Amino acid sequence: MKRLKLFLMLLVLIFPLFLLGCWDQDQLKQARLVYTIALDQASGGQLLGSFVVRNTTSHTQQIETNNTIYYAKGRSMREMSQAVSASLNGRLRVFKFRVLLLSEKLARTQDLYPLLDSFYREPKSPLNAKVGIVKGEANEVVQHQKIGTTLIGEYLDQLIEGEEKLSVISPQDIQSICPLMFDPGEDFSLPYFEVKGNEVEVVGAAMMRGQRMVGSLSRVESKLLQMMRGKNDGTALVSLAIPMTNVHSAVNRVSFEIMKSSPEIELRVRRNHLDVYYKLGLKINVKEYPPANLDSPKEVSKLNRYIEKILKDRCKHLFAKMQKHQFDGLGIGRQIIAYHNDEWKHMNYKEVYTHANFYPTIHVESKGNGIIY
Amino acid sequence: MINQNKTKITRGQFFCMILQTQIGTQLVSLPHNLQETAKGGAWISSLLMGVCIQIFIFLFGLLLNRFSGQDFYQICIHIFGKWLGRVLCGIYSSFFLLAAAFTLMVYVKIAKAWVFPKTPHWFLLFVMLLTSVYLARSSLQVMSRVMVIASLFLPSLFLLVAMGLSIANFTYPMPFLEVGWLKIIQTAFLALPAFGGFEVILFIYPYVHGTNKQKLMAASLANALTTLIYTVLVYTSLAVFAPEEIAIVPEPLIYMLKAIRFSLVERLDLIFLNLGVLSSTTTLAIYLYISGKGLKSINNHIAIKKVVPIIALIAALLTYVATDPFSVKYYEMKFIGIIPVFTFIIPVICLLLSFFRKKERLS
Repeated sequence: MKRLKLFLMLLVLIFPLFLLGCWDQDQLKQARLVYTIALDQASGGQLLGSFVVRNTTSHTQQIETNNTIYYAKGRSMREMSQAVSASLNGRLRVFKFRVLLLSEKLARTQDLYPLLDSFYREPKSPLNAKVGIVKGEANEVVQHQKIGTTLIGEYLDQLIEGEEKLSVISPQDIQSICPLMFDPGEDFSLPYFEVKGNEVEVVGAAMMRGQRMVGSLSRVESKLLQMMRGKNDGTALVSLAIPMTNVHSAVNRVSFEIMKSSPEIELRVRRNHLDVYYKLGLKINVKEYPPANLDSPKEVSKLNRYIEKILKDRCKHLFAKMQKHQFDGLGIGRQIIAYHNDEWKHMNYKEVYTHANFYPTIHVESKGNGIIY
Repeated sequence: MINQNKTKITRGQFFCMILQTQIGTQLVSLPHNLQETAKGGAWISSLLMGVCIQIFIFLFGLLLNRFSGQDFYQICIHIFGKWLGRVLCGIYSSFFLLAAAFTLMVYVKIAKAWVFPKTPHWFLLFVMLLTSVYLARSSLQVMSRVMVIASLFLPSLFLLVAMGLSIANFTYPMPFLEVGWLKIIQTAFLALPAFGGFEVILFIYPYVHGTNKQKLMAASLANALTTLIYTVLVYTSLAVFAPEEIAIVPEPLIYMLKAIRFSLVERLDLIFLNLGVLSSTTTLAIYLYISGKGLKSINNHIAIKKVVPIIALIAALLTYVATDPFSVKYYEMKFIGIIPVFTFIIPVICLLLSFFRKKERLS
């Protein structure tokens, strides 16, 4: 009995040596981490991928990091990453993958899902990486190895995150766009970049209809869309021109922060006819208002009505633009699927959407004015 | 009498035991399997299955109360006589062996796909069986205590998945009745493997302290809780994935967790899988134990302790029938077909026969 116990004890001690790590270990020191991939169209229907791989060289005192860009041609993501592996000392790994960039040309002509399939399929890939569209060639962005002192991968990631926080673009990552790519009732937008000299700028949002880009929104429009979707988290800043008052100055704007936007969509659906009654309640916090006369309730409500009028026009314009591109950024189709399913089955939605009537009403309430009127 | 008290378990332990046997690896693919045919009504299917099982739990109670102090194996022998009864015990024992093999199969499939793609099949089986055989070789009391500890982790498992609600779009499951009631009811049966495990009531019931009413109450509560958890989890995954997307995600519950990102923790799916392993270990242990008990009731000289490792070995070998996800899916469908025979039909036949035999005796 004692011997058996001893034997069992030994077994328990030896056992950890055979723990699972042996087969499935994936050591960081052998991994070559790719941070960013930029995709462009190459000749003959091929893709040109620019893989930004991080190098870490540690001297005795300090650790130095810099990027190496590997170019590969191929017909799919896997084909390209294989081509990159051929000239890489180590294993290509996506653990730290942050941003996928696509050139506008590619995004307009190629479906998005096939490019992302390998990410969804692999359990180790980070689904929270961002996707962006580049005006012009995508590899031009990554060729800026550093912007300021920040390496391009981190720079883009931080840039996107910052813009998301300001509600300029909608926060999306590889996972969150997946349902939207499949869903016929809602479309999404992605950050739209442009290279300007030595800098990379978010110039707006790319409208994605299903899996392809169909057009672009300016920064102001994109911000407005976020507001219409009710997706502002208290940091969206809007500036509007105010009519000339007694202030004789070139600076003639009211700027306000959107504290809360609560949209309500009511639909009238008939066979091939769609009326969209769109109601938006806004709570704002005034950040800049040179007339400085908000001490009287009359002036406050005058300002509110004024903002309502301007925003209503802008919403109408934006909706018309989205209709023109058959881009359902508000997810109206989603509502029809959920609440008017019979009608949905019998309609050609994109067609109906294009001719839908849009009736916005906007209600603005000023909830804050800073420390002066 | 004292001796008998020692071999019994409490109602709380009974409750945890049923809970742990019901909740196992099949849970993770439940939303996908149900959504395939029931679309947005998948959560209703899961709810219906829970209600259906509740009815059978009452029927089980009726049967077990007629033969107080006997488990289902003994009842079989009582009703069908020595020979036929023993054959039935053998068949039931093999059913639980199959159930164990099936649990293993699904566990290995998920472990391979999500965490250990290169680890050999036999090793995953070995690690899993080591714990559950050890558990199944111990007594019912020891097992039930482990179940209680394992149940303490259930809230975290539930919370983890409920976090998916933070990225949900509640219009995705709508309209709920898109495919109509008939299909929703039919789909409910696909939930059976995930709900499977309530049949252990038949075999453990006589070894639980308390009146019949109290015991049935404990069993019903366990089933109600399982149903609630499943329904919430199914609904959550329906709301996280677009209908067209869930069709291509075989394990939506794990996938969903991979999609949620916190500033501190990434890959919540790995935490979930760890908790899931615990659930399937307990499920497996119970199945092995009951399968062994079946052999014991055929021949009283057979010791459960000795047959359990053999049963485990056979179950392990059976998993080699299907080592890739596609064939696992194929056998899953086959297995669903035979579950109702053992969990619904035979017990009800026994109940009917027991009425009949009583009359016979009276006359």
